[in-house]
Amino acid sequence: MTDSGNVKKRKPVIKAVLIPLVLIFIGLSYTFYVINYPQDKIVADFVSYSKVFSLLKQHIVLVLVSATAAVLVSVPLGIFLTRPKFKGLANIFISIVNMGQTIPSLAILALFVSVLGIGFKSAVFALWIYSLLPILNNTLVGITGVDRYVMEAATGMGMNPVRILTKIELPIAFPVIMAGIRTAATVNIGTATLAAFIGAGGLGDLIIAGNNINRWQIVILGALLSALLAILADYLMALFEKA
Amino acid sequence: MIKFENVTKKYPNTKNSAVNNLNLEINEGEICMLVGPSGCGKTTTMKMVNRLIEPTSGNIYIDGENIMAHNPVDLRRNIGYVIQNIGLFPHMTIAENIATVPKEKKWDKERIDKRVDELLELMELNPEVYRNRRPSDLSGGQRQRVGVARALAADPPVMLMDEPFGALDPITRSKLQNEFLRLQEKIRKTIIFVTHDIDEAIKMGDKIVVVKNGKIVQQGTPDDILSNPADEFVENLIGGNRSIKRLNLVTCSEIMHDTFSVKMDTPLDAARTIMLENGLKTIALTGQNNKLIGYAELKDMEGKTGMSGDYKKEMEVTVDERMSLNDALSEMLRIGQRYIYVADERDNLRGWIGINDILNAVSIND
Ligand SMILES: Nc1ncnc2c1ncn2[C@@H]1O[C@H](COP(=O)(O)OP(=O)(O)OP(=O)(O)O)[C@@H](O)[C@H]1O
Ligand SMILES: [Mg+2]
Repeated sequence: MTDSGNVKKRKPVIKAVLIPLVLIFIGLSYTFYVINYPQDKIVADFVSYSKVFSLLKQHIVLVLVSATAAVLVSVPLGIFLTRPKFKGLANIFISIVNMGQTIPSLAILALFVSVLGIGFKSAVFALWIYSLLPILNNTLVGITGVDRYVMEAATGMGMNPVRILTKIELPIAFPVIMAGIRTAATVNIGTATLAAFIGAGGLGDLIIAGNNINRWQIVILGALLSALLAILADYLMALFEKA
Repeated sequence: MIKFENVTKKYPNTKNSAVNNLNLEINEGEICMLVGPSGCGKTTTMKMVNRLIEPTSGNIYIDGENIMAHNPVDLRRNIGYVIQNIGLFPHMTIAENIATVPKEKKWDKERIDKRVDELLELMELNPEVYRNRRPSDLSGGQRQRVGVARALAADPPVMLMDEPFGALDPITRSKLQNEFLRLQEKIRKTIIFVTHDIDEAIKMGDKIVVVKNGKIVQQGTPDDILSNPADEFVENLIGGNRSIKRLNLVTCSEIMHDTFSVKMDTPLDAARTIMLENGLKTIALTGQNNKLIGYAELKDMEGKTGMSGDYKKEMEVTVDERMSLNDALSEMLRIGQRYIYVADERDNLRGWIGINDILNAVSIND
């Protein structure tokens, strides 16, 4: 009984580690291939391990900073808008948020360059704005979606509003909020490649430069690494959600 | 214990009051059934007691104190609440659900755990099995039990129950009603119980309050209501067959006859003597703890020797002595017998009831 229990527990752990390792392995292998078997001298001069890793790091920082800031704003805002005092506001916000989603990411980037100028700050700001929407949307939907009889039972049994929020609403809405964060982060990892256009670096640099000098190995390196990063991030967040 | 004084509730933007100048007193330890058609204001009336809804005018007192004098959160923690749609918390275990109010009241963990197990047992749910399950793993009847257990957790003197058994199939409903009545004998809560089922009201209520369009049409004991319906509305609500409904008012223990029983290993002679002395055609056979296991007939014993148990005929069905004649009658019909044995809570054989006794019981009163 306890033995089989242990085996059952161990298997998911192996799987949990295995998938990220495979993703990292694929990324490393392709980087190794490009560096050691470049198609020509130009590619050889262009890529190096340190360059790829510093671009990767830039990319991760861009996404991490903007996504974290988005969570810190959207989740509390979502909670605030769903309090009984603001009844109705939540629905108005959901519509506004959905409209916001339709603005193309490049347009947002361009907008911020005109205000904040070129560079890291503009890129983070634009990515932040772009992540706010799905997280806010899911927070609103998650909390307003809590069964009203569950809410009535909680109130009727004498739970105060703060306890209802922390013990009932947030735990029930958690999977929906997390889904919003996951969507925001994975979309962000893709969108962050556009940051290269405004000189904020990241893996987009490889794609743009590769394209400019017409070297497919470099374009694919940038695209592959950002795709792998997106899958890895989504996977890790799913893991966190279950824990 | 609970007193409504000229209570009116008018929802904004509605033409008529949902509750209209209601006056009602409910005594301590009493189950008061609010009964009436959908939309007549039962739920509204009930929710005003724990201030989920505030009256437009009038006052409500619990134990002589105006409920408006309390902070609603404190008030609610001392009123058990079972809502119409159960409203169990889907993300919590059964134990956590039941522990809700004790946790709000900051009981220590040990006391909470003990109380949870005690309530699960009371509701006939094995704590080992159900403690850590989620509401979605339970049947409708089990969820209702958990809903009731959760409302009872901090032992509130007052309970509000809004159609707690409404969504259940008739058999489960009847079972839970019986269990709840048995429980109420022990816990003696003051209960407002909402239903739109007059049969449930007759069966469960110490007092029945018939409501129509937010107004009380009639209040009284189930017997009052059945024998003197105030008007056509109440008459229609009760429906036909008032004497059959009466069956719900009388318990088996009230009309049962004493029964004679012998053990399986009682010599046949001895059994026969008892039967002849008392003019019996049959005698009950009991096992350990006086539990019914069958019966024997005099005609089979004629001129035989041996043990009484040798002539056993299968008969294990009994009705609980606190069940209504209605339950006894349906059991008789189910097993196709003209009489049925009655047992107490611990399955000890107590007596028997014949089909004629049931007919007499309801016709004498009419
Ligand atoms: N929040 C509300 N706003 C406006 N009207 C309401 C509200 N709640 C209830 N009502 C109305 O008040 C009346 C009484 O409703 P209530 O819920 O008390 O009825 P009920 O007797 O419990 O009915 P049911 O048996 O269907 O549960 C109904 O006409 C209902 O439509
Ligand atoms: Mg109702």
